[in-house]
Amino acid sequence: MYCYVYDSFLQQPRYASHLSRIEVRLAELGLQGKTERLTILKNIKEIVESALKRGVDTVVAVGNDQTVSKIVNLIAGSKATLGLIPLGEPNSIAALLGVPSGEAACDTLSKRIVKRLDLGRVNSQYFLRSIEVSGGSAVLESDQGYQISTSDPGSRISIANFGPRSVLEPQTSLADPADGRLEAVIASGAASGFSRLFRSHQSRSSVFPVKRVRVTCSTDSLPLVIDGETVVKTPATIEVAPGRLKVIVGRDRKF
Amino acid sequence: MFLVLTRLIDRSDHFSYNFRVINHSPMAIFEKSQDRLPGNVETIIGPTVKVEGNFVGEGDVAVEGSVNGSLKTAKNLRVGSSAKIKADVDADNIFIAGEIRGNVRARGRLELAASGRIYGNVDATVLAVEAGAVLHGKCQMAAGREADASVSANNSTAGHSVDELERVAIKSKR
Repeated sequence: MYCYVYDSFLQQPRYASHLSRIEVRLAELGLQGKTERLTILKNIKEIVESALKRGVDTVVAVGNDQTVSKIVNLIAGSKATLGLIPLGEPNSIAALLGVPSGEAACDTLSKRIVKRLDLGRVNSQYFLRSIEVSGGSAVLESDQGYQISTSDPGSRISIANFGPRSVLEPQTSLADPADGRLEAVIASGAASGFSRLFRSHQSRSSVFPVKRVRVTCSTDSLPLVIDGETVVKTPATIEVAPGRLKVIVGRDRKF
Repeated sequence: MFLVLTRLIDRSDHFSYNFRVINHSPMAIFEKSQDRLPGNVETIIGPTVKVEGNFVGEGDVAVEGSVNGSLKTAKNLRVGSSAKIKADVDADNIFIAGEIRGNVRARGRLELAASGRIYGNVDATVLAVEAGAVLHGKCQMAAGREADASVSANNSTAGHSVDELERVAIKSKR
């Protein structure tokens, strides 16, 4: 049984034709299910929890990265599988999962290639991609008995589960969401001018595979940005939750 | 020109080495070593980063920053020219172009580049040292350990025979 959760921004007229084509294609493929449209009055948490109680086995996020992130948090650890129909921007998660935009995503749903992915967890909140920390005063304490600090005040720290390891170096290799660990990346502040020329041959990033790490700051409380949206403050404990999400992926997935 | 230490045989604290000249062009080994990284390196400790404590890795590790404590990995280790390590180091194959203050154990090959400096004891199966490198400490190698073991075994056998001879001599005096 499917439950399609339409994000609120899809009420805009420009998405009407896209949605009608998607609905026609879903009917052709026999993937009908209950459609829930988010509004100011409809809380996504109540909608998804109600669907899970009804025994829905696939919750499909129709929208962008924010839609996916919200639903990931609600179905993590449940028996339900996540599906995606990307519409609007940004949709980097769908691209990483190999799910094409619009009605082509219906065929991916129909083929139903299901993979189990790790999630990151900070305090009690799950995330799929990464957590970013600005400021070099943060200290990472690994549960394996060592701590990591940096002398560069302009550096950025990210704890990545899936996708680019760091926003400063998006061209670097991707973090694997099925390896049972996170990657703590410390990227030095962006070099410019001559320093960039001279440093081009040398990686400016540090990379540490971690399963559980505590982020602290001796001076003040730093903000941690989760998947580019939610913010929590240090100190915080970040850990991997292996295989916590079942998701339908495409053949062009990046892992 | 490279000299590779192939054997170490000595019962005392003095070391003797058999040197074998390798017909590589100068720097050939180290150029290859430097090209190896950072391809499949799992852990990278960058130049601005400091690690304190007991670091244990499972994959290849590259160090350009500082490490205080101990550093161990099941695979290969590369210590870059800007690295400063105050730790005992244990890895499979090790390439050193920076500074290590601590004991170094390579289960396989240990390469010390011209800019490399080790202040501590070294234990390796194969050791390659480039001209200009600094090595302050004792050096022990796998072949040497095997030779030491066989010499010790021979000595204990010989000692037993001497004891027997002495006992025979005492009896004959009586």
